[in-house]
Amino acid sequence: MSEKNWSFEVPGKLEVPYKYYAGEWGSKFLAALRDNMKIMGSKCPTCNKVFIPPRSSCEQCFGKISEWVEIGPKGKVTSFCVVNYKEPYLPVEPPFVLALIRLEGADSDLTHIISEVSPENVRIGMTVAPVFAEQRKASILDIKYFKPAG
Amino acid sequence: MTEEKKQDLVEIQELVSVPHSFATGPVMGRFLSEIRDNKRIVANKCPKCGRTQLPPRIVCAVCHVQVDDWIELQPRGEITSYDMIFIPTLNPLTGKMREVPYTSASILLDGGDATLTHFLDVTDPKKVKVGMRCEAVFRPDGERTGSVMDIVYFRVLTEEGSK
Repeated sequence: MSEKNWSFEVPGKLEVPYKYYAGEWGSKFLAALRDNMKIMGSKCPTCNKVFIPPRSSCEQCFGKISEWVEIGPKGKVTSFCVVNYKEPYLPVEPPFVLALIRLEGADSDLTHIISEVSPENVRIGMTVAPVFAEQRKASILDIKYFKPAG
Repeated sequence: MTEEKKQDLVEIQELVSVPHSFATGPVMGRFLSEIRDNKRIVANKCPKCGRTQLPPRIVCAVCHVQVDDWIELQPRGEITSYDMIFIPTLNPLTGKMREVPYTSASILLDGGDATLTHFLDVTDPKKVKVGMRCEAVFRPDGERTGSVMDIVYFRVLTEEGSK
């Protein structure tokens, strides 16, 4: 082969549309966000654990769950990270804070965005409250983000 | 009797989009550059078994020896098999459904013993037969980007007929 370097770089893209069916309980959860701006969880009758997102069977005792409970809307930050890079699938412009939030009355954490506060001022344990989107379409982003609350 | 309230079941439309880039390496890079710059289809030839490798690779897939001999193939050849597709399927490179009908064919290019898979311009099952001749139609100068799609399709040559 000659000395010439024939290599070059080819830009490419993979793109796959798909439909996600939220299921019976997921649908109820998302419809409650859209229609009533309420965050609903499910409660295991045996363990008394409250799950968010709600689920129809308990991960602890494998029992069937049928009780719905309203949780939050306020919660405390359990953990967080600062997202500094941009990807097409990310819902907001970086930098932004992605946090685990333990809502009042829940036994599991919800992952969501924290805004209206600069990333360096976010603390574990701080109280946050949801800000709902004006246009809601049964998505987890019907909660626009959480903001610091008293 | 009260009417049972039907539950609203939520379906969410999502789009997975993954931008990426890959390096051609010297061998595939030469193959694609020749198409882009000179409208030539080149392959390489194994020094041990004499096979034509198209697209070329640095190692012979059969003998596992390094392949350094390059040959130029003609941008025309013979259809050895083809598929006509009438059912649209998802193209994962674009996220869109493919336009149908289209014809995909294996083409034995003159000057070697390897086939190239590409599209034909004919989508009428009555007008294509194995053994028919076809020729490459390249994109115009300045529009080729170094992709195998710099060849738009192979035009079926009806006047030459089947072999």
